[in-house]
Amino acid sequence: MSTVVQPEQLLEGWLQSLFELMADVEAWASELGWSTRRIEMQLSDSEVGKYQVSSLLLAKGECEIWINPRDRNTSDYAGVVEIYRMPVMDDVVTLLFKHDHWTFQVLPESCMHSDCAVDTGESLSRESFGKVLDVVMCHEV
Amino acid sequence: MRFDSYIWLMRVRAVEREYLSTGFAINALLDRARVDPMILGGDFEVRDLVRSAENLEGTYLVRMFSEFETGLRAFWDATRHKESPSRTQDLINGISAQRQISDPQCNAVHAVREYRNLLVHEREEDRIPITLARSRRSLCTFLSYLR
Repeated sequence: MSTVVQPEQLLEGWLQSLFELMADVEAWASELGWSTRRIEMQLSDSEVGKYQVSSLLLAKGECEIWINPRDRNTSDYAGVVEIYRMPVMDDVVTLLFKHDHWTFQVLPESCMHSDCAVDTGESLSRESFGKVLDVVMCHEV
Repeated sequence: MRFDSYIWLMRVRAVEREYLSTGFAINALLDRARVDPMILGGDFEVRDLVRSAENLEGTYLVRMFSEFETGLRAFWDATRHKESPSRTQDLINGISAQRQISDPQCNAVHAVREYRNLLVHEREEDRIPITLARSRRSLCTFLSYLR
């Protein structure tokens, strides 16, 4: 017999995964010399209505990136988080959450230069996230 | 009322995402309709789809600028005790002066505004189009000064 998961439970799981993601990224960025600031955002979807999430702004020198939860429960993934280069809001890379696991998705237009930091499907880790930050630093707008 | 620039940054960015997904959908439908025009059901034709695809970026640029302008008016209302200027040009210049936004950033926004006006009023000026991505970069850079 299949168990129906209530929307509230889905939201709780998504918020927990975001909480852990932001805590990890915040710690890694700090270790790598980036300053961090949390920004509260409101998201909404038809299933659970409006809800609050934390996004994360990272800064080092003139360079700034914004890690921002976008959607819960897209058709293929449990959730999506975008990483933008600020202030122009260019896509750097996307994080996809599926089966309790974060992986990168690299959009072709994200690779403004030849050396993309990570590959699509690569798992999020301290090392892979550090590579993303390195490339962002190298290509300041 | 409190102004949150991050909300407006996301709104401007969201318009570009909608444009990309709508463009993808129209092109996918066009590919199919060119092979089998009957799938369109008779209410419109392949050439209508082609026109939609051609005008899509301009349509979304008008919408993106509208989100931007609404954000500027919200900022004005939140930070000043008088009504915002009715002319968008004055609104941009007023906020530029208030936030000490550099001339190149301000001029980039005016370029988008002028191009938006050209699209809305169908002026027959010979002007190089400004892409939606470039518009977003200019508008978001300006909005980032309001953080």
